[in-house]
Amino acid sequence: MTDLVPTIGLEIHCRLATRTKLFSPCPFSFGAEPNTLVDPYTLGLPGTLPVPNAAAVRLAVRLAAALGCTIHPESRFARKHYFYPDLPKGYQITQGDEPYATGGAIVFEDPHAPGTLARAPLSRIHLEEDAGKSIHDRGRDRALVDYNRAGAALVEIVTRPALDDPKRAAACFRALRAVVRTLGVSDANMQEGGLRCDANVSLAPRGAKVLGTRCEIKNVNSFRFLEAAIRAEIRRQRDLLARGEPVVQATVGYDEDRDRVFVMRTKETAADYRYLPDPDLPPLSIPDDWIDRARRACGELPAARAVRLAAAGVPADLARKVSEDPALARLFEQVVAEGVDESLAAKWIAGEVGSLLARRAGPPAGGAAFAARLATVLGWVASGRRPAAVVRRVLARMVERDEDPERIVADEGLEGAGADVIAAVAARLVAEHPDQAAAFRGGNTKILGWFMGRAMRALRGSDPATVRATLERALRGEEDTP
Amino acid sequence: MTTSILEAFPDAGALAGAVRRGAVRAEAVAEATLAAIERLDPTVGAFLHVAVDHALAAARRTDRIVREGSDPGPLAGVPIALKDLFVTRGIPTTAGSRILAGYVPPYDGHAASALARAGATLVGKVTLDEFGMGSNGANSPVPAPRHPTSDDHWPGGSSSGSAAAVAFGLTPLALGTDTGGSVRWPASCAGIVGLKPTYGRISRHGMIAFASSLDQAGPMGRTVRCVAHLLAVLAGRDERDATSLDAPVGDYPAACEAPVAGRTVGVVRRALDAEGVHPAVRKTVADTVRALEARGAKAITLDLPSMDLWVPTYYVLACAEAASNLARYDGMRYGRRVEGRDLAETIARTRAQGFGPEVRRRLLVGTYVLRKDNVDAYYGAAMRARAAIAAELRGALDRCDVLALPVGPQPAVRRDAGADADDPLADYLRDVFTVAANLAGLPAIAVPAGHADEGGHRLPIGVQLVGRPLGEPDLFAFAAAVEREIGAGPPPLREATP
Amino acid sequence: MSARALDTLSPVPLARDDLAALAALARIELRDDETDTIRGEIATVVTYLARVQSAAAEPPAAPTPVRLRGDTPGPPLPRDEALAAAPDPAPPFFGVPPFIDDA
Repeated sequence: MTDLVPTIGLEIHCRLATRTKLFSPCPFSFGAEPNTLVDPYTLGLPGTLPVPNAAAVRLAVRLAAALGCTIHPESRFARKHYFYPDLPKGYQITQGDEPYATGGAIVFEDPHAPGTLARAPLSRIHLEEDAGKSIHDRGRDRALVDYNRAGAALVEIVTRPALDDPKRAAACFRALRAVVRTLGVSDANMQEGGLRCDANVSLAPRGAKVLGTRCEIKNVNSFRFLEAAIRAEIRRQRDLLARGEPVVQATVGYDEDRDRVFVMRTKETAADYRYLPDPDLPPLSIPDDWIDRARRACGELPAARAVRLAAAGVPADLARKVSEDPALARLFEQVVAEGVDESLAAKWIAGEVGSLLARRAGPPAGGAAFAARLATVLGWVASGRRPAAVVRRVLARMVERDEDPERIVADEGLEGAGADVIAAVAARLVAEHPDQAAAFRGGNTKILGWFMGRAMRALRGSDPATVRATLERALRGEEDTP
Repeated sequence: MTTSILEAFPDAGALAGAVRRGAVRAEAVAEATLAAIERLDPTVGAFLHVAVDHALAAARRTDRIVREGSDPGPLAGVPIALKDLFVTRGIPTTAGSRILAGYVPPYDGHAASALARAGATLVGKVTLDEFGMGSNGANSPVPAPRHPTSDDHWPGGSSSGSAAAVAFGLTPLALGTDTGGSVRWPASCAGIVGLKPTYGRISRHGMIAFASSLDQAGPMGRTVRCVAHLLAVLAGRDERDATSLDAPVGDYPAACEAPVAGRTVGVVRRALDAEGVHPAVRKTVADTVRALEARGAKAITLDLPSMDLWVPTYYVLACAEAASNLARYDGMRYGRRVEGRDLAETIARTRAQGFGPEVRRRLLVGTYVLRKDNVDAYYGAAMRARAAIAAELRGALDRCDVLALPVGPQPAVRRDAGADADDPLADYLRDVFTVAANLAGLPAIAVPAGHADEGGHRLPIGVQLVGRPLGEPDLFAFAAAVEREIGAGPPPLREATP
Repeated sequence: MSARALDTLSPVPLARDDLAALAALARIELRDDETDTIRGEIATVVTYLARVQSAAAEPPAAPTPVRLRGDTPGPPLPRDEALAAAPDPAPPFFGVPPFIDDA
């Protein structure tokens, strides 16, 4: 069999973080009781008309700017027709031939070459409205439709068929998720359907000019399953071709339990959606200043930042965490702006602060003041002014309470003693416990711990390493130079 | 009864004025109107639903506001009928179609709420050609209303019930919709005034869509001034319609008094000379021009060579947009559902049995012209043709203030149409003079200006005046001049005999 | 005005299969006894409409761009009102014939 290589393209649907739907002021949020977030437009009632949501357009522009797309000052909405109960108007308003953004790329860390960045070029991004959801009625032979989600604002990000490997495809999807989350474009909560990925997969001989017949894996909502599903589909197509059978264009689903794809429906003929420029919607004009502002506002993207920090010595997992998590990324940018070293900031924010925030399951106390306070505390670490144990203690409290770090130190008596006080305490302990001191000098080094316990109780807040060193010298009878 | 009220107040504005002053009670007007409808409509056949409780409640509210000394609105107490394409909360709205039989909307559209704010008394929903598709009034599960002067003729459509309500004196005002002439044509047949405003002048929110880029709500009334009053309360930008214009609303009733001396009317020779134009129609346009000249206007002759493209361009676009707009009628969320063996069959059966033959024809044609293989040759070409037609009409209106054209080639269409009954194109071709204004988004008014005598019947004939974008004030000035000079007016109110 | 004068146009063919495909696309069931009549009618109409192709190309006037709406929530419909007109209400859902939801 000639060497067959896969070609993979992704179509990612991402729900925008707006309060209302794309074409009507109906509120949207995930998890509401069925059919409580519907209005006449959502239900496609006769006489209703679409009016586009400015916030959705702004978020869409922000995303396209960050991905380096060409943003078109004028684009159009188009109707895509098909009859389905979850599509209230019998058509979806999307953008057809004239999307608002084309080109650009998703930058991601190449899983096959950690530390280097790869690019998945994009074909386009467009705005469109979501459809409703249905479940099967267990009691009767019918489906039950919930229109809460119908009309929610989506962007669809379409990559060129240029990915060549399931791992890269999953990494690309993951990178896109980090971008939309850190930009505040979407919460991209995959369990809630905030981010969905379809993958188009085809096989062709290496060097072939024409791509093979492609099949579409629909609606994968985890990175792990995306990679596994693509792999399984490649297997399925390879097996077919090895048997001399053609690959028939189809929509496939992925069975996680059996790690297999199954054909949901074949598409002998491509659907005819009878696209029509929407006569209810004049052209969408995106003002230049929106585009300028969006381009200026998008800083370093998560993938690039993670790779850069890892190269500077931050452990890869911490580098990725501080780059991809929106709250941590924001803190990172803020403390770095206050002069904290990036690697230090990355390690502490992804590590200690990240754990504290995860436990708290909410934003840190102090609101806007937290970042500046964090910068102060991280400054102690950098200068060595306070020991790590004190820093951790202060952070734990600072996350929970709206208090300045200096105040916390004072309150909990964490100031720590000066060198002469430590020397005095060490000398007193040695004098008060001659037998234990003798035991240490006799070779029982473990007894140092016993002295340390008593010393630290008297010297709370002091740097343990300094205390230990002072005790050792005192026990050995060395003079401590003040 | 209503007749005497209408005779006492020939102008809707005058009636509203009397109610506002407290000289006449809105409730008395409403009761008289409802009584007349009850007595006459069984033979007129205009109403699909008479909203008795709603009307009386609205009228009583108006009277209470007047008693309290507050402003009840510019159309206080004026009864109005709405074509059943206008969405009214709590009042059945069917689009004249079986597919929406029994549908009661949970919201009020722009027209219903604007009229309520203006203090008008909505008395009910009137019949139409299904979804606005038709020009005789015959495309309906219920019989078409009577033509006001001839039982042998169709009343004209698609705003058949709206025209009948006004022509028979049931209400002084009615609201229709005009996509390709559906207000102007029945107004002409009935001898009343009907306006299709500039596209976007009146919000389409709550107006059941037929062809989105062509539809406009159309005020209808016995006089030009009545229509001006109605336009005044409906016009203006609406946040809920992205195509509604952000342009100031003129003082339309005052515009009726503006002189036409020194202004120019353009006569479209090609329209008058076209094959099949009835001599009485030609005479009506000629008389109109003479009347305007008598008032000091100047007449010039123009040609509009794109005329042969008007009808095919219109029908490609109208059918395509209709196929799209009516895709929502699938029996899943509202309206009638007819069960089939599976989803596709349920939808197909629901639509086949819910839509009448003309609607089905247009949906199939619309689907055809939007198919991948056909879309550029038909829809794309029609968009290009539309641009050319609009440019030509705009150019013509650089040389004159209004264009004068027939409304239809004939005074009215005989019910026993004969050979034409089998020809789907026959009706479409009769729309030739009206579709141009819809294609170009221009305002156009039909005002009574003549008549034809046929088989013992006097058939009213209206003249059509087309204006520049937002040129409604000019249209009112010219139309009012025609009205004053020729005085054709609506036929005398007659008691319809059973 | 007569359509007979338009016979000079070459008729657009519409085979039975074409009509069936069209009807399926439009989700309108056609009875066997009406397909021939409808086929003739549609063919006549689309033949006539083909004359739009003779128009000169004209760039359309640039329309005013769409006005965007602020992201302020309005009141949703109460659920019982939303379901009131449903042919098969299955509160809190709309009941519909079974279908595969793959989104």
